[in-house]
Amino acid sequence: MIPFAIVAGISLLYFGILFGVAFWADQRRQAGRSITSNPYLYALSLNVFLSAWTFYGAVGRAASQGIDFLALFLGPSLMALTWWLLLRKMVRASKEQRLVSIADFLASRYGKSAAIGIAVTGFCIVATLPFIAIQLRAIATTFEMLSTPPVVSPQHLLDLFHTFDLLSIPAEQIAKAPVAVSPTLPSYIDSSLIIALLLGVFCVLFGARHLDASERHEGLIAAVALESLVKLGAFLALGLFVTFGLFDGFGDLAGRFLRQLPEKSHLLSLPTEAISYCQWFSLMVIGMLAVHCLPGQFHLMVTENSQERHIRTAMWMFPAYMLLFNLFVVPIALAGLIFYGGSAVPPDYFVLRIPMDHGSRWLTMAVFLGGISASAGMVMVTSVALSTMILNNLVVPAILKIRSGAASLSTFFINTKRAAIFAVILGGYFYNTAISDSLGLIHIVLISFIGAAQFAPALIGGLLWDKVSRKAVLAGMAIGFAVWGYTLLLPSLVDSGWLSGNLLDKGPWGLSCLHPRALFGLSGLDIWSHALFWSLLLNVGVFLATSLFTEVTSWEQEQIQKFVHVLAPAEAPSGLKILSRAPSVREFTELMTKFIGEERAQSAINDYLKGKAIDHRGSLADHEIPALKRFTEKTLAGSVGSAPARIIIDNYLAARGSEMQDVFDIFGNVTLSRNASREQLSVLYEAARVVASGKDLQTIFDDILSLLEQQFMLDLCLIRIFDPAQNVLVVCSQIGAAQGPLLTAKQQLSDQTFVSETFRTNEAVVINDAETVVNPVSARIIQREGIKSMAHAPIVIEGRPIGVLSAFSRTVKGIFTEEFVEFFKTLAGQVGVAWRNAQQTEKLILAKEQQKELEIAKRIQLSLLPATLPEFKGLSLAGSCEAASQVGGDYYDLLKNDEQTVDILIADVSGHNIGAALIMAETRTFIHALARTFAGPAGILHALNRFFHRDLSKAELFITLFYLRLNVQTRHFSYASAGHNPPLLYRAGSQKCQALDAEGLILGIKEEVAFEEKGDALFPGDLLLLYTDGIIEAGNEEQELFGEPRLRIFLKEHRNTPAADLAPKLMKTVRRFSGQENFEDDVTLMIIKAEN
Amino acid sequence: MKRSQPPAYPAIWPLALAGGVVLLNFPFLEVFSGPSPMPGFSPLLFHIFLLWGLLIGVAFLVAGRLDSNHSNRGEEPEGTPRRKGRP
Repeated sequence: MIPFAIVAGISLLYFGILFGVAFWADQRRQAGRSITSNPYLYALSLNVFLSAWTFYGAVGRAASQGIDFLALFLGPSLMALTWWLLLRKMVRASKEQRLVSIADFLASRYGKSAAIGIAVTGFCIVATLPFIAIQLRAIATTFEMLSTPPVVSPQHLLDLFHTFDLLSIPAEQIAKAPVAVSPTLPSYIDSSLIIALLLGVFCVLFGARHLDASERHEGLIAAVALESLVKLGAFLALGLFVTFGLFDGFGDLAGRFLRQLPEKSHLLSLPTEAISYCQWFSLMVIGMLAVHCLPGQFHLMVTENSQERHIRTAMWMFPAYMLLFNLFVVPIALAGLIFYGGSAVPPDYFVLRIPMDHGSRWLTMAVFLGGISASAGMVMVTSVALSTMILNNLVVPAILKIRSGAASLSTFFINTKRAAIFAVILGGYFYNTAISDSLGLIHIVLISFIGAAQFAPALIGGLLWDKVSRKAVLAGMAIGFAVWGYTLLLPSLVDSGWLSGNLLDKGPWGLSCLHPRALFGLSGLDIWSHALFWSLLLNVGVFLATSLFTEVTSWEQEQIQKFVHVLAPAEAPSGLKILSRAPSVREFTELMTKFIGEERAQSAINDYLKGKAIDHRGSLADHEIPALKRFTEKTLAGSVGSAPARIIIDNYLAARGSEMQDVFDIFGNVTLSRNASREQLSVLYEAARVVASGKDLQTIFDDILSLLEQQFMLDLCLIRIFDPAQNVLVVCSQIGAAQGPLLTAKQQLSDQTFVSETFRTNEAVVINDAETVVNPVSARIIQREGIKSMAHAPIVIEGRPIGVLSAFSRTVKGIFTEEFVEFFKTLAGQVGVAWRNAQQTEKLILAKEQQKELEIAKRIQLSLLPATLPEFKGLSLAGSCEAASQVGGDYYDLLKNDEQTVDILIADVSGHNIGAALIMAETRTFIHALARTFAGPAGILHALNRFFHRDLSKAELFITLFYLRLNVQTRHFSYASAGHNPPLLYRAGSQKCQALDAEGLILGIKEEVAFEEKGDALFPGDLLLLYTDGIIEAGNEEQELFGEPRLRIFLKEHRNTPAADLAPKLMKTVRRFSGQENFEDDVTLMIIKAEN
Repeated sequence: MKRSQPPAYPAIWPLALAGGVVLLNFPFLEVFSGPSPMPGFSPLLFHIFLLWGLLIGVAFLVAGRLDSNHSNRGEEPEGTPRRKGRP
């Protein structure tokens, strides 16, 4: 026996060490040198699974029932072989979606179903209470065993102190020593309650200091890993002491046991009266399922996993630890039976009683501390996991629904989580007091294990099968838990005297077919096999049937990819733009630079590229790009978290070359990202998606403000856009109510308000304590609206403000930190991008409308040109006109005056717009109406110039025109030119080109102009080409013009080509020369060929 | 470009899992439930612990053969062809 003070002191000292280790681990993490990101520590922490039910209960079970407890460890050992598939899927899906508990996991898997989250949380609480209860019971019982009796004799105390060498008391003082020196707790104080509270404090300190549950609890994990070492060390020390200290090895121990207690030899064999093969198999299955489904175990395996490769170590180290631990369970149990076979010492506590009675006190204390480690570790982990589930799945949804007006919800949430930790532990405490002491530890823990196993179909099925629906999971779990409660939980309460014993005697209302331990008449099974069979059969049956007959919703369908196929290589999401060009290393580096800085990005990419080949463009081979993408994502995840990193990469790849690229460029301008919280990044990326969604501007504005308001609990958010017509800032979008019109009224730029100041100065304005505002205009608004703090950021496009983004809080002062302001400015930038996109879209629509009108104009203009040219004996004619834009100013025409004469003209109005086209149409009208009334070409040009002079001067346009009147019989012609390019006449006789030049000024320059008229004649084989300057001024890449000489050569080379073919050939030649399909200027020509 | 994935998870694990379940249950356990050939020696416990140890050995081998690159997302998968030459 050890005095209470010493036991309590050493226990507190041990907790102090755990506290110190946890604190140290947290400090290391904050310094960026994590100690728990280690495969061995990860594997050690998983052995929290071996809690009090193993440390004490396994020996008790071996001594009372036999070796069936081993099946509970063989099951998890077998399942560890699957971890690279199953556990890795869980870890990756959780990391990618920031899932922090089994409730989050299942809710997210099945379409982010709140109902599943609530159900799993509720079931976990009920199923886990017995589990926590036995941990508290073990600590309290061993504490009382070790520290009693409370009153000791002085000699006893002296011996004890000498044993620990804590002090030496002179013999003469022994008589003076007090009779009762060991302080004990008053009877009305329960030691298990104190232990529960102590554990609660520890959990709050290391499991609920921050609100972000996705953050790994490194301190807690370090403490749990240390506890795993302590409990294994203590148990092995005891096992070795018993086997080789108290006995001469395993053979001697077993031999003495069989000689002394031959009637208990069945404890070493299978099957026995107490253990059937069926029970053995059931326990194995229970162990297989429970190790994945217990909320605390899931938390350690999945949430606290820092790297997937740690799973590889855990696959062999976790079962190896269990094997090592179990080596001495049977020897200790046999020794306990030899020593206390017929006594009242409960077998569950042989582990502590043997060293107390036969060993040293140091060993006793070590075993006691090992027991505390086993129990406390599981209580801590489970309570933290459950509190997170309660907060995320019960409290937060409820609070968000009623939308509390509390000043700071984060404080409320963290306090709720802390309260939940205490509630969970105290729940276990009350369950412990409610159930019978006669139930063994393993008996109680099996109730929890089978309860947790009800999650297995949803959990494992959800990772492997894509047909599972939310309804199937809810229905399966509901019936599974109902059967579990009926067949196990209820009977345990009956056994403890809380309910009438009739239920277990005859069944409810005397219906034996509904007997909880022989449901539907199934008798002959042990209670574990019975409960497991019925609960899982109905659970899985309903689960499968409902899955087969119900459809998964689109939400669930979306989630299936993220869970069932989470390990599949990432492919480009459907609907996103397919990359026509693989991203280069430089692009990934620049993306990383925006978030982690140039130095780190360069360093990371350099390390990555070692041993890899890149081409001259800085790109890797195509097959290397997915790996580079994952590397970039992983590097970013180190700074911004895994989920935002994934979003960044996906969005970036989807955005390359699109409008979204602007959104990402914003991040380059503002170096906020490393300091930004995940909530802020989340809003920015959601906003980026909204901007790129293609919705109308009003919806985009509203959606962005909703995101802002919901994430940061702001009371009023506004977007104002400057209206240059009225010179005011107008509210375009508003979320949250204003008390009066003052906040939402139009703001004159001259107003002395913070909004106007923000716009004028193009700088953000932040007021964190509105009471300090002295400006009378603003102070009046602030007072009337009850504003506590506000922030305004200019909405800027290319350095120019176009509006103001504002946020107001009526409840909290000082919420707009520097970090928030940077985020706020970036968000304002996104609003600006949305506005600019909308403006561009509007212009585009306008341009399209204009384009449509121009198309119509073009069709009309083309109709003004001669559709066909008349045929004359001995002459062939051809014409062509191509406008540089939809409408042009070129024009050619042919007017048949009588049977002998025909007028041929070509004109070029300056410009290629509607104005030029109108002038061209007007010219045509004039010529068609009056050409016949004038004697010759010079007269017509003179009349034309007089008629158009005023109009052309006003329109700042002019016309060049060549007019030719041809006698088709004599082939004589007269001509005049108004500054037009001289047509070329190829003479077949001389085989030379002659320019038809005549004096004359461009139309529209002067009112009175004299036009020279000349005459000539066509001879057989002659070729006359009328053309506009678009042909000879066509340029190529070397800035050369096609020019008149090339035109002459062309005519000479093609003198024998029919006129109809000559026009397209000339066009083709000019195109080939310029190297362009479209002409820069309008191109028109007319060809008259005198046949031989 | 979509490539077929190399076999990253040695195929022995399902065999070991199935074999473990079979060998650690009825009727196989019945073979070792008979009387002990020597006093103080339990063939059943020996069988269970030996098989348990073998399973751990298999898990160790499986874990060792898993390509470490596959466990770390962002690194190059096993079997990715490499180009020779300078980076």
